[in-house]
Amino acid sequence: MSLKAKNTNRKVSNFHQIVLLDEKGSVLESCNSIFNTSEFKGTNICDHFCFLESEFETIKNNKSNKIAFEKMQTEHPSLPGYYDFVFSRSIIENETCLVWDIFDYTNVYEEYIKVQQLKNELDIQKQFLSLKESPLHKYSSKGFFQTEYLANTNAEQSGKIDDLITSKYDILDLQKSSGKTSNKFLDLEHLRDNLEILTEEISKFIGCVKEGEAEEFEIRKTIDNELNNGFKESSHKKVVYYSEDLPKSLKMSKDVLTQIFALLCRDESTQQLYINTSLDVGYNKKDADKHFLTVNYTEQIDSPQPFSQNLSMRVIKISVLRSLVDMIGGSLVPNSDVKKGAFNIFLSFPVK
Amino acid sequence: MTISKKVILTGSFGVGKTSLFNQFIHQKFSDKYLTTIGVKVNKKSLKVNDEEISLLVWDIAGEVTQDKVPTSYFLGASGVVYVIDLSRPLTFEGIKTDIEYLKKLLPGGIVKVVGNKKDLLTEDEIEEARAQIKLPIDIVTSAKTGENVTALFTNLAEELL
Repeated sequence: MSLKAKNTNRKVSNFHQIVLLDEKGSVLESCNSIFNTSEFKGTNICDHFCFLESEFETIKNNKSNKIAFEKMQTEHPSLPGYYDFVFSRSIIENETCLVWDIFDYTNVYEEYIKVQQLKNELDIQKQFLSLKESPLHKYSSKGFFQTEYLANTNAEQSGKIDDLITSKYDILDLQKSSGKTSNKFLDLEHLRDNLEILTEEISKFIGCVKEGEAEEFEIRKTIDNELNNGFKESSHKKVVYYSEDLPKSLKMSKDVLTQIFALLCRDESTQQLYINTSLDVGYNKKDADKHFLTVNYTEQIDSPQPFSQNLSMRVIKISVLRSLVDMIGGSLVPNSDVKKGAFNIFLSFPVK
Repeated sequence: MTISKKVILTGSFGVGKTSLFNQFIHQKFSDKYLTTIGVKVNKKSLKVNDEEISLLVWDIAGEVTQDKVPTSYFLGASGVVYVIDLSRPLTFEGIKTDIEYLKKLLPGGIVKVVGNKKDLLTEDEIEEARAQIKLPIDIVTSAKTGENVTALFTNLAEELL
């Protein structure tokens, strides 16, 4: 879904809302994609939101830069959850107004809380463990500190949890930057072990793509077809033999892989391949017994579209690409330049 | 006329900032530890010296060091309540650096150092903890029993007026 705030040319999605405020804090206009501001008509919106009450003067007096507040939790019935707020000024129809950008990251931040909770509890447990040698060791929290859990947690387990937490944070950052917090494709459970993603995991997250979302990622159908049809000869009329340890779901022809990479390198809004993207299959003269699929991908970084709706999606896609490439045993080589992001993907297939 | 002042609750994680916040705003306490991420804002009006003051309290997620807290949270703040857990030395290990940082960030702002979880320690233990802390504690509180919680915010409000 794509909405537009009247009088602005900025596109918003269903997790983003733009509210225009006057100098007194009254709502001039809103696209109401997250919450309906009509109930605040004629009133000062600061009276309804505590954080605005304390910040409005600062925001109003800020003439140049944007002011951003991350991870704001509100309990207002109209806007319950976790949000990122960005305040700026804009001139619309020759009049200056305050722009309140609201980004709903409730789903993502709720996951953050789970991870942070685990991390904090672990850190606190470690602190109490270290107190055994301290004069304050006799103190013990009777509150949240769970002594039984502490007794059962050894250093090795702690290390594993730390690793898990780190990887979870990576995924959550990725998930947040995607701007599509409700997309099952980005579900934490399916991506959290991204670094060691297995065939089953691939199938799972592909299986999670809803019918409505399949338009964006048509990989499932492609893979299903390929698996059902069995292995084919490639278009280059060379029989491709995959190594035995290659996951079954990836034993597909280069054509299919090429198609998958093309989908992953496609701009979801225009459905076009990115600038200077080229896909090719060929031989390396020095290594004639192998096929190489090369994907040369280059694009302008200063995209006119909002980060969350374009670039970040590419980040997700590139992450998936990276997983696929890693599994197949290929390499992904960055080749960036000023204002351009580029990488080459090299995949090799032994041929008979 | 009511005067509004922004007050920040900050300090390391798990020291009881949210518990102080809930005790002050809602007079409620839960033994269950729930991590805060980002910030939660609420307000409460107090009558101090015949004047009405509305404290807009920002409960900020605990970070080990204050320089990790987004500076935007501190914009326009008049006071800071820096909370430590008296039973966990690590929560006051960097207190000196943190307070210096906060004072630099908010020149003219009032910074209160609060030793929380009083209910877990004996008087002797509190003194032992005080001796370890590099700066004087302004007030010792217990969010659990509510001891000194209102006093903390009332004292702060008095100084803010």
